[in-house]
Amino acid sequence: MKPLKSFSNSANITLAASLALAAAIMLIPANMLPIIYTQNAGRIRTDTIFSGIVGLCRQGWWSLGVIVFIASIFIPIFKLASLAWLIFAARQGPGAHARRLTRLYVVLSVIGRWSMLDVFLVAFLSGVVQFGVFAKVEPRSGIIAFAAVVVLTVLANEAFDPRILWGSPASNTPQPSSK
Amino acid sequence: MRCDSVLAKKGWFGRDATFAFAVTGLLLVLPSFLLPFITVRKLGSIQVSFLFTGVRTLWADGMHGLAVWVLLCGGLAPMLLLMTLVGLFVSDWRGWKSVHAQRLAQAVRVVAYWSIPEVQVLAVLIALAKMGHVVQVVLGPGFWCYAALAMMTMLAWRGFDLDCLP
Repeated sequence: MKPLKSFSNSANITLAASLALAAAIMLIPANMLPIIYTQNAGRIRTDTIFSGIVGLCRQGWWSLGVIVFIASIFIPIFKLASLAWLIFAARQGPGAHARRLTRLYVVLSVIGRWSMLDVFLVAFLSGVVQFGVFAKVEPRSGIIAFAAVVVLTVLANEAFDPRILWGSPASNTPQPSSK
Repeated sequence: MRCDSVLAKKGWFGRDATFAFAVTGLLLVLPSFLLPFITVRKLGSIQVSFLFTGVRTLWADGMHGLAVWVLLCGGLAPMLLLMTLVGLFVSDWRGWKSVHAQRLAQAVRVVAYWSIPEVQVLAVLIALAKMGHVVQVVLGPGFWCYAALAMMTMLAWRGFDLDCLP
């Protein structure tokens, strides 16, 4: 049977908050820098995350554009905003919304991995389309920043212990180095 | 089961079915890694790609960390997950109540979190749509094996009940 995680309150919140902050900072280069370079029959373009989505929609793939938008833009921002809320709520101490917030936490842990979609997309495209001068796709540095955002938000999520929202006898008494 | 009362029902299928999913997934690992994944045509030149061609390109472009990360999430983690599941089943049958099995059960949660072949399958499908007007694309057997592998990994992990193990 799985032993329960050790319960230490303030250290976990600080760790989660700093990881979430780092992710929020990385979100800026991830969205501003180009993630992919495409060259096809003399036409050259570099795409950021957002312009890639616009490109998909222009091609008529609306549904795919929506999927990539949700995975690459909506989920990271939603995750960070929710994490900020959870951390804020946890600092306030156990409250009446513990059940709802815990449910939010579970949702965050499930959806986080789907953000890797764009990383896989760039890796696959740049591996497959290699026809020299005729058609070529290359990865650009923005995708590294984006992968960092995904990993950092997941780590922040893991560092946050939802039990703190409920409050427990353990959280009131100081614990002598419970690790 | 805790103190003879069901707290939460885990596992969608029986144990045998879950074991079968895990073994099937494991058998699919080699073909999906080694068979041609996709064949692309452009102006008469043909290029055959494999599952990890993208990883190699990332590596060649100097993005080493990202290459390793994609390799882990898309290939190694699912493989490790399936191997661990099969190992846990076997050790359970043989009645090995070892510390190792318990430690494995702990480790498997982390591996499972980053084993995301289903995300890669979706990424490949979107990539196909994106490439469609630039090049001609034919899916190879490697892709179908990989898609089945993603399916098996999900089913095996969903059906698996970690708490039943030692």
